Amino acid sequence: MACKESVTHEIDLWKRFKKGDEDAFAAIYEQYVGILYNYGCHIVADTFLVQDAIQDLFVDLWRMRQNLSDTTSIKFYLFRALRRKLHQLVKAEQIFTKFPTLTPLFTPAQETEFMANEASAEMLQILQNHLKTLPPRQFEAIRLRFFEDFKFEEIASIMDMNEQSVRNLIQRAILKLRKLFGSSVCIFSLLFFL
Amino acid sequence: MKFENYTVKDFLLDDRFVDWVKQGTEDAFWQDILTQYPQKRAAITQARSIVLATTQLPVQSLKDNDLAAMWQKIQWRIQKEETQDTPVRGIGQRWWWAAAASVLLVVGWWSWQQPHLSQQGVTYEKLVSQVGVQKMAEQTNENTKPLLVNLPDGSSVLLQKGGKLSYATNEFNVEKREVYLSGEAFFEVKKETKKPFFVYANELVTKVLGTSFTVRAFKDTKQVEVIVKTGKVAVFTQNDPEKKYKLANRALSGVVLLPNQQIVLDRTNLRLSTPLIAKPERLTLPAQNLSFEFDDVLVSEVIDAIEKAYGVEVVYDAELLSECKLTAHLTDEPLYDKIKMICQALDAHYEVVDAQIVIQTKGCK
Repeated sequence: MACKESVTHEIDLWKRFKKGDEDAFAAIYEQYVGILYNYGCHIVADTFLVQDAIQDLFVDLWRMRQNLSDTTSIKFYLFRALRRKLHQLVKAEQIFTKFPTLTPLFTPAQETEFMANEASAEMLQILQNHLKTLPPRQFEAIRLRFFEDFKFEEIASIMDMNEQSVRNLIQRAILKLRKLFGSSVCIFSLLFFL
Repeated sequence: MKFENYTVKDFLLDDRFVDWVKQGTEDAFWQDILTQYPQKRAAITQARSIVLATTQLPVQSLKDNDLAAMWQKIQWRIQKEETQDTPVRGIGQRWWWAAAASVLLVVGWWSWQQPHLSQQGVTYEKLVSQVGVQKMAEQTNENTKPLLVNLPDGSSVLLQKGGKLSYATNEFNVEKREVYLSGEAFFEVKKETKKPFFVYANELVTKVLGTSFTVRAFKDTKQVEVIVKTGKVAVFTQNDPEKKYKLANRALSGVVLLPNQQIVLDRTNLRLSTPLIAKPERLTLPAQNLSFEFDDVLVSEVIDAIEKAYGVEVVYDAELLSECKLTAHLTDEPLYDKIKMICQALDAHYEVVDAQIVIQTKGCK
């Protein structure tokens, strides 16, 4: 129900914006600038570059509004556009994608301990540290899926690749993350039966 | 049941599973799976953790003022585009703006030497020859070090190597302040709203009321650039249909640039564009980068900074002032205003003797 409502709201907002409604334009900005920024910062470490890209994106959006197609997901549309912008800028700027902090600190001893508690804070922390060390595209795909809730088909379009490749990318990421649980799996499953 | 063979990966690729972890949908169904397939408990837990870890990744959030500043810039660019682009207000898509906005015109433009520009376009020589009978004062910098030029109104100009700057001695600062530039210079213009300050550089006219900015206009390069450090600057081209009005008027109209903004004029088609990213590192002069923000700093340090920034020599009794500290927030004032403010704080006065600034003081209490 709530989901349907928000979809019609989105369609309506987009239509109003396309007709040149400045309030609708401002509403779109307000609603999405935060998550766009967050997404951008996960792809490119340079926050100023992300801000520039977002500004460009919205200026373009307004300029092109009459030629835009209808969309049921403004978020999807904006993410795809931002990613393209960022890639253009990164190419122009030759900034290498780097994540600001990498602290993959864990020891096997700790590992087993964490397995006992489901999704303990420490374990999530370890997983998060490893997420950040994944190859950028794997990280991006997995983040778009689980953090942003995009469908595979949408991720494929955002990342400009086919759906199967997205699945492969995510599978490879999962495989790497799974290794963290390693051999402790047995100990772990035992714990449930004790 | 398919779940029998499910691995962590399979759970994670199952949309229903992800929805359950994230939103708790179909909880009964998944609880059932857990009891039905106890051997899958570990895999499910791991899959859950991976989803949860991803959803709880640290969030980079925008500060409120960044959010507002970005929106302002977006609106500013849209407005500028609409007013500048469509003389008759209405619908009209202008594509050059997009092209200009997405291309970085920064790297390598020095080398795009276009000798023919100096014949066809507006150049320093042509501009100066049009001034007419007046006596012109001209400064040329043939050294590699920037040359400080103090204008009669108190504004200061740091002229870069190979730069030329001139003005009509009997007209400057009467109704307005007009200078002609070839090459690159950094201006700190004394605030004087009644007498606007104009820099004529090739095809570009830069108009300010009181601010600091850089103009780059070489005879044979394809572009003219203006980079603003503080205050507001308006720019328009020599062929602007409203040029007369803009020259006569006191207000800043046309394309108005704000601090850290930059504009580039393409001399071949006389189009103005803003590069996406201002390049602060390209501001080569110390005065352009220095913020003269001093909080409780020794006078000698303040004077050192000024000497370095402007390449001038300041003479003062170092012993008398050795203990004196100063709090001063100096930004875009011309050199002499900066000196004046320092002198006020020290209860001192200054004189210019043979290109040296001599500060006379009785020390501080």
